[in-house]
Amino acid sequence: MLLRDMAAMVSGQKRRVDDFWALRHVDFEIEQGEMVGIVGRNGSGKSTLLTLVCGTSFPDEGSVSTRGRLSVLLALGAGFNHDMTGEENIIVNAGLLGLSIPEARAKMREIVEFAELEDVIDTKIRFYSSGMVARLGFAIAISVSPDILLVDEILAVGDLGFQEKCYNEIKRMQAEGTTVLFVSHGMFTVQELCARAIWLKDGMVERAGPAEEVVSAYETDTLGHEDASRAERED
Amino acid sequence: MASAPELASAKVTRSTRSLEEAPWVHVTPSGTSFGGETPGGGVRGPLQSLIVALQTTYKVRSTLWILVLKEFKSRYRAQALGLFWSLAHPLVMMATVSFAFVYVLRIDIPNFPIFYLIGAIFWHWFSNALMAATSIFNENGALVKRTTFPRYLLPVSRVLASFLSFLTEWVLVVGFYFVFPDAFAFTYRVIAIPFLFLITFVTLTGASLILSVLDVRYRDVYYMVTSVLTVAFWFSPVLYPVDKAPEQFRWILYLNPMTGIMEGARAVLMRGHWPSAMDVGPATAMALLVFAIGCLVFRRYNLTLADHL
Repeated sequence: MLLRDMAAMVSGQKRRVDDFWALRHVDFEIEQGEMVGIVGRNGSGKSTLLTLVCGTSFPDEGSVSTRGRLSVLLALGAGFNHDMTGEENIIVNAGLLGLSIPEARAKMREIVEFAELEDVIDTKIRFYSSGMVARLGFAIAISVSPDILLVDEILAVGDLGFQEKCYNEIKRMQAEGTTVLFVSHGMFTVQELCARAIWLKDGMVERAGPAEEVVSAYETDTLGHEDASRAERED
Repeated sequence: MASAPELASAKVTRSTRSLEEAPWVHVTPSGTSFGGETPGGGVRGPLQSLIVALQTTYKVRSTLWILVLKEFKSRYRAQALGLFWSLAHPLVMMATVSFAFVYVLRIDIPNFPIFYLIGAIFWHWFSNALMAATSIFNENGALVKRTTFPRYLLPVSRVLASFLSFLTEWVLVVGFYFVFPDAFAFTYRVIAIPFLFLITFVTLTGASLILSVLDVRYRDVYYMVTSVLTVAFWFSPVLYPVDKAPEQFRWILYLNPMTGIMEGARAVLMRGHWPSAMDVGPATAMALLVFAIGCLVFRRYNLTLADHL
């Protein structure tokens, strides 16, 4: 999956500092309420960066400091128990994000409405379509009103209408002060949503600054011409 | 590094919640630490780490409770009779084993069915908890990778869920008191029983911390655990009292942390005695040792856990 994992697998041992650095000399600060896009090619360290911020992986050197409640939009619905109903999964997954059972019950309606699952919420997740699972995952992840939201390339799921709804919700949360770290290969989306962007190349910050500039520099480097985002828009 | 555009700072007007009260969380090479704008630096002593872990556990107790309920419920999910099975199984075993030992082998142990039942439910908790906790990270890789609650809650939740099943099995013990009152000697000394639960719980927590993280690295651990448990069953006094074992071999029995616990529970419930020093001494020492090793092993392997899932 991650290059670092592959390196560890190939050498058959714990990753060593001199084997391969998934990220190196990455240093930046994000203010509360900012939406920052992270772009870069596959294996450039984007997802690793998010796992470090999230605290599921630990750095070999340096540190990541955050403040406030964190929620991750990543592999939506991956933690669901397929033999439990939508409602039960809401209780469990909201609980894992720090809500108590009464708090989760209080949010139940809001979550179900956002996910548009009113008719099937008492059905086992097993019988949901993948889009429904993703919608429920998204609705739960944002229901805890996170202070920091990590978004990893998930908005490809769900139909167009729901994608639009998710983007709007992320924008609304950001407007209310949620900090968003946004990993995406959709250059147009990054430019539209983020004021600032960071371009990772081989685990290092190649360029950081206003999203427009960073994205076009990245596109120039990758595709060799500047019409990429226009081409994407026309798709 | 370009500084944040004005655009962003203009939007920092969140009325609902301010971050002023939220503690800093630092993800560092030696683990997660809290408080202060910069990482505290230096490795905390083991005692302080333990206190911090206990405080954290208390803070996220609702998450732990939800995990326990989820485990407990999903065990009986998709079963028409649910909890009935967890009572039927020990009952059927009790009848079968009693038949073999009392009527076929003609073993001379008074009130053998009750003797067996008390040992068996402890052993059941012990083996179930260890097997369930060992595989938890491999079964929940996706969860580990995307959630931020302390990970040790996962193995601990399986120990606690097995504990809930174990508690329901005590319905049988209490029930049989009314069927065979002569087999029991219920006195005020039953207050020692929760203490036996506690020793078992500490042992299980420590062992599950070790086994769960090692199983991620080496999948063989799960198979090793099942094999060792099978052997350990015969080196435990589930089917025979310790004093029937030849004296020179008894120490082997006491290497099993459940030996003293079972013997102690029988002393209390069937004879109305306190558990002997031999029952609780080695068991308590082992519990504390396993727990300490568990914390250290977990702290170390937790750092690279997500990378191996």
